[in-house]
Amino acid sequence: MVSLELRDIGVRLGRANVLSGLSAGPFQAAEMVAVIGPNAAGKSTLLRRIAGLLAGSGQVLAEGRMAYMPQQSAVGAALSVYEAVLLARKQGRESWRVDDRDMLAVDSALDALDLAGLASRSIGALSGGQMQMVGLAQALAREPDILLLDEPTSALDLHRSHEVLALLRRWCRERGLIVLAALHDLNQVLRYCDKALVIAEGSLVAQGAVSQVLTPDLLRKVYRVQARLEPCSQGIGHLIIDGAL
Amino acid sequence: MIRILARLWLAVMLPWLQPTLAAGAAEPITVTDAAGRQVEVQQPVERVILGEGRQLYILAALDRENPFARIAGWRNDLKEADPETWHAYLEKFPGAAAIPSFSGLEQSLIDIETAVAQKPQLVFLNLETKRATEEARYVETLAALGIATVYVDFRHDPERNTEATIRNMGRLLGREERAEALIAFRAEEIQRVTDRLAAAKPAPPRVFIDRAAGFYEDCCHSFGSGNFGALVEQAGGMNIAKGLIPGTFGQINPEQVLVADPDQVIVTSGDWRAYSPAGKWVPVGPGADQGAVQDRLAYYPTRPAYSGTNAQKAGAFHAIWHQFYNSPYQFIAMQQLAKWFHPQLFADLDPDETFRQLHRRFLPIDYRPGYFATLGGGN
Amino acid sequence: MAYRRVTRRRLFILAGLALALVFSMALDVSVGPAGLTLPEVVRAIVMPASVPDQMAVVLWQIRMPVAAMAVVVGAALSVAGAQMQTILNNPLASPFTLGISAAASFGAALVLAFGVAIVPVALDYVVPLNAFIMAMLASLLIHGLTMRRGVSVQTVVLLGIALVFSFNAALALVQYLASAEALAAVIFWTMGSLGKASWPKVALVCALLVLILPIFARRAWALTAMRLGDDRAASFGINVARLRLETLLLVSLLAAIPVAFVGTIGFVGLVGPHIARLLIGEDQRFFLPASALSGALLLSASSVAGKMLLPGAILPIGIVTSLVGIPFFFSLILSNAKRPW
Repeated sequence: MVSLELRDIGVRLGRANVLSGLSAGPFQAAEMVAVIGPNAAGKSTLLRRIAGLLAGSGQVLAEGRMAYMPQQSAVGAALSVYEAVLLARKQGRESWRVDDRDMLAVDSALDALDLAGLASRSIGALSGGQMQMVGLAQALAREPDILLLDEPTSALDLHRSHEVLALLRRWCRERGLIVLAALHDLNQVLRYCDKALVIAEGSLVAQGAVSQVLTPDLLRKVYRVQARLEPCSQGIGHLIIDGAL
Repeated sequence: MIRILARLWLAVMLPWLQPTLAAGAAEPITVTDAAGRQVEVQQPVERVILGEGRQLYILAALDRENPFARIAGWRNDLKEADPETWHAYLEKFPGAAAIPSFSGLEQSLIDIETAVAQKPQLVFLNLETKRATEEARYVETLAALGIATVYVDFRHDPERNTEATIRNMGRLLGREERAEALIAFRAEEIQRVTDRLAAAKPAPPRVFIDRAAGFYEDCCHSFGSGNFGALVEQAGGMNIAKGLIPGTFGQINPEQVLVADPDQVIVTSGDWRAYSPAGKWVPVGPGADQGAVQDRLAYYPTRPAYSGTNAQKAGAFHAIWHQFYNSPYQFIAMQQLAKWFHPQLFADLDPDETFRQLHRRFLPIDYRPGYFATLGGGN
Repeated sequence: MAYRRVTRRRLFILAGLALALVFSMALDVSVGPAGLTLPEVVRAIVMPASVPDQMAVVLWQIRMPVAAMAVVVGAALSVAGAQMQTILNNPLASPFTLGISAAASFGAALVLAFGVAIVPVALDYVVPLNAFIMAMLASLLIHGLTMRRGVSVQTVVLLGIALVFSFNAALALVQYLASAEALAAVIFWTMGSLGKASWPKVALVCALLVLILPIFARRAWALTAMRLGDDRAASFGINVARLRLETLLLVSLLAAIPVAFVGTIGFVGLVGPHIARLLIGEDQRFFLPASALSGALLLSASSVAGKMLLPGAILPIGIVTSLVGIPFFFSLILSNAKRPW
């Protein structure tokens, strides 16, 4: 049974406590959780700590295979998109064999993200947004149970970012994944995510259902903006930012 | 008043004028040096700088009683390349150790500060340094201080330049008689080889010169048409590397040696314990231990490059002191080579004896045999 | 299935490289001043007892060790360069740029000029041993400095370049102090020569390849992932620092031993991997064998070219690899503008 729980997570980098006393969850299957907060709050650090890339105090109790997608950086290598995704899938294996199951997983990841046309393109020739999609495909191809995504839509245009988030939510529901995504667009959070973890200055400020967590009060305190939460004609809550405080 | 002042002035200046007057009495000599320059040198020459230490080989024949009397400074190549000879001289003339010396390779500049500080009248430079010296304009610098520069050569083009070099050195040092005697001796000994070869015109054996054997790990380093290569040809042999190596030094494919099927192999070597302790060098040189030489030489027929060659079948392997490539006594090496190549023709030639004669008649140190060896003993 | 097609094409390319290599080796063994005909060569190889002694010696003691040495050294240097470029994410990384060759030259020069042997062993192998020890010292230095935290890939590369300059300066000092004969010997050593080849040396380098290649093979996916950047590789669960260190150590061995035996042969470790990359991409499952084959082919072809350019004499192999490799490299670069890097 897939689950993820964080108990008193802390990370020290040098002298500073980048994260401390962070407890959250337990999260269950088919839950999409947003990790939000201002710049340098510790969102990336948290995701890396959960993924096991950083050492620190506290416990990460996870049931299920994790896949982590870091923030984008430019890459130049003589690999095609297909190979890059295949590569992600084969990590941790020693055998050179690529069987039908592997190719199927890669194909479905590429198809889901509408990348099939780019399959033979060299990754050095991709735009930032395309590369980000490939990063996502890499995470998906591993057929994980827990997806940790660091700003998966930052380089994507409106169309793509909504497409991706919709896809993630669909996979989350259909395959019973836990998705933990650091997102900066709060309206996307409202529309697609179930829960939210609000991080500011290294500690957890709030957690819970999105609609309950994202209040004007919180926004004023954490983001230092004047905001209103109002339902649109469809009944979905939207944040209207009036200005910085 | 003026007359008193004039006499006073003369009285004061006279001591200073004397040496100038005296010096003015000896005629300066003009020589044509190895670079073709006309050089005027004040006489007498009491202090010289040897741009190359090995110029001592000739100087010692001219200033036999005390070869170091006039040397104000020199390059230390003699000490490095021929330590045995250096020690022989040092034993007899311990004061030589105190002579200021400087380092450098054949073509590199002399240490001009040391040279100038010693206040010589003359600097002997060997021809290899000419380009560097001209670029650094040393000749002009020295001339401004009244120091003459004379180029000498007994290595670059020995056939043409050695005699002239000896003659020049003799004139400049006031030892013309000895110089002429040395020249005559050398010419005679060379002619004993060249005359007989010209008359009999024997077929030259194919010769491979294994250069600096024991210094390199791999085979087969040799000489092209210069240096030892030229010596071999003059001695009536055929250097198989001649057409193959473009310069003076180079390396041939061992296969090529095998194919060329040399009749004789000349190994040039020396005691290189200090440089190449594990190398297969043959310790020929003054005072060599014949037993050790034979032991080491015995390795050479086993080299794959010589497999199946005439030389290997006949055991025709010889070793010769590598430093001959850099010495005005090269003509002795030529005699030995000629004797190896044409033993019947030169049955009465005894290079050891020639070398002994050279030492007895001209040099202040004793001759110590060991410069040559043949596999299986006997020269 | 497009990917299967790509895989098949790559296997063809590998086969093509292997074939070219076999051809080059055959040429290397058939060409030489001894003027042997092809049937004679074949007979001397297959039935050495049936040919005259000299012919057997030419083939078995002179030509074949050289041909075999070219192949194994070329492969080793190229694989070393390939993995260096992979883990340091730098297209200019090669056994040269990390200072390994320079250190080896210095070690050899110490023996040739002063008779200074680091380990006092009176073997035939004093020069290669010295060269090897210095090369390993250099790589251990880089290894040790890399283990300190916060040292980035750029720092490693800069460290390597600093070592190159340091050892070259030390080498120049040795050359300055050396006698004329020693100087000539040192210079010949630094120009590289396959003439030092012998069967024991070939066997040693071969054994090295046989031991190390499978280690790289097991890490094929991880190594390929390194090319996506440290972050991405780490996100796959790869212990990036440890993989880098291990690979550096193995690569040092792969580079130091051949260099110790044949002197500095430049360019193969740099160009071999690039040729492989341009032909076959960076998937280590193909890139690794392709690098080995390209390097072997480059050196083998250089050996043949050297023999044909100056028949009879021996041209320092380092010169030939540059003459053979550079134009080819230029043409590959210029014909593919959209290449990565």
